[in-house]
Amino acid sequence: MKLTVWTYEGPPHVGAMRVATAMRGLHYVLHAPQGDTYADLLFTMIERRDHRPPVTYTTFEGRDLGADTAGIFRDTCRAAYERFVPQAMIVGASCTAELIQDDPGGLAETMGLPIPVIPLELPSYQRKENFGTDETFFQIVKALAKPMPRSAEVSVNLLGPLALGFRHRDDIEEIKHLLAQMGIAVNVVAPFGATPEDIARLGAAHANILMYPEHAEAAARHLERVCDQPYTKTVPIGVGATHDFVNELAQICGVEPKIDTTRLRQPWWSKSVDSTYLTGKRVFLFGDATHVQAAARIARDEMGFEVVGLGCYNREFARPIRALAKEFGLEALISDDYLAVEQAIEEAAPEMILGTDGTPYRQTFGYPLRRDLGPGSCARFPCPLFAPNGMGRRKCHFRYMDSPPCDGS
Amino acid sequence: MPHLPVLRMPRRARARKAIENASAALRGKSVFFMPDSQLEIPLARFLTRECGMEAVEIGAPYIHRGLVGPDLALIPEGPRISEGQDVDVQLDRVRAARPDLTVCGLGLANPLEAEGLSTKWAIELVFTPVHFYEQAGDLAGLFSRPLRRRAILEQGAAR
Repeated sequence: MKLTVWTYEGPPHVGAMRVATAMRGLHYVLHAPQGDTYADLLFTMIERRDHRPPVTYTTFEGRDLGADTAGIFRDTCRAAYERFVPQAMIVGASCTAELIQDDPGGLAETMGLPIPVIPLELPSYQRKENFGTDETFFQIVKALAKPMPRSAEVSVNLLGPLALGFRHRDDIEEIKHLLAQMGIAVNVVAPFGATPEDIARLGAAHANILMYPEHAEAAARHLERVCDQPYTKTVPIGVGATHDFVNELAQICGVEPKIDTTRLRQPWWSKSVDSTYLTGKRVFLFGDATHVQAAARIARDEMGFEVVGLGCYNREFARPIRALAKEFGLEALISDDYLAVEQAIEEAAPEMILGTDGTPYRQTFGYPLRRDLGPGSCARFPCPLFAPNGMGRRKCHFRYMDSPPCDGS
Repeated sequence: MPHLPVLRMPRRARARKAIENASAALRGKSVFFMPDSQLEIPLARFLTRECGMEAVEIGAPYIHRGLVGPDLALIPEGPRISEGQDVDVQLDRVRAARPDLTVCGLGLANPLEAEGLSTKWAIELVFTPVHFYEQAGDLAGLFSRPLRRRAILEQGAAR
């Protein structure tokens, strides 16, 4: 942990909040001081949700520190159960509360609540938000999902979409559309919209679609081991990757790889003569590993750009991103220090940056910037003025990238 | 007030006039403060004494009597003064009182708006210049804007 004016990820308890907020019937009791309740506004303001996240904070104050903060936690836990009557609860500490070492997981387990209480160990001073999402979802799945008979029809679970996600709602709709064409049913989407009871019936699916490895890879691996469910390794972002995904899924499920390409316009836009001046444009990619991986392929193979630099901020994915960079003849930049990213961009001197929302590079360099790689910020979440239309919109993003590079003059 | 320099009088009179215009929408309305900006007590003093509002509850994260005692003394008897945060219990009281305006943090503003309650984001009061005579009219305007906006949208929906 260090002081910075800008950061790609929050602490891991924010990741746990993103899982809890995405689900229904789950409650998160968070041992945290008064000021930490500000995390609420990530959801009610940045994502414009109309409900508070299902989180109860202990909100201890300075004067409580000399007294019984563990008692405050127990009282809060019981009050939260009685008020919200959730199907299951997750419990943990925020970065600040971790320092007082009250062991909320252990305390809650001994309270004898009549629902599953899932303790979270999220080391705030070593790990970050994406670890928080992945670990929290994994712990929930581990506690609640058990092997069970498969559904009669071929079905899959969609794993990974959650609150404050980057266009997750649209991605779910797109994948459901693909699955319908192949005659594959959706068993459960999780965490997005799932209840703990839904998590308990994950095992009925024939396979899992891992939509975002950042948020659900640990859960997918666990389900592969425990429920004998294979999971897809290709993330369907971009034309080539979507094609590969359909083939991979068809093979796993033993169905025909059917795909309707009548709505697919991107390949034609790339061939259209006005796109010729995109040829060989030097682009720099930096964001979360999953989107960078997808964007690298789109940039090189589907847009005709030259990728002159790439990297990700989430260290958990350093290995695959390093391998990807090697394939592109580059050295990957794995860093969560935006100043190091700025420096790498300056050295690579690209004509365009594909980056994340809110990154300060545009101001620094005056480059054109497409902000399609997570994490997203306020502008990224559809409000009434910016109605989303799914993957078509994602292609639109790339359509508008052909504005000539700004030279800062 | 003979002890005040004469020069100050027009500014004070101007401020009074500006508040009178901006607070028309606030007179007789109720206000509930959730603990957030630490400015709750002086703001409640302003809204009750000068804008004709009635405070239901004034919650502050921390109340330092030495600092805000004089402001507290100017607030008429009646509102519950609460210190610290217990958000679910406080929200229960907001819902029971259904105040015309709730002053709260951004984490609560949208959920309360979704329940049909008008809110004022407390954070705006921290970064908007609201001090002294020259800003007094703007300060009242910050509170009346959510009410005026709701009225406009309700009118529009009825058309």
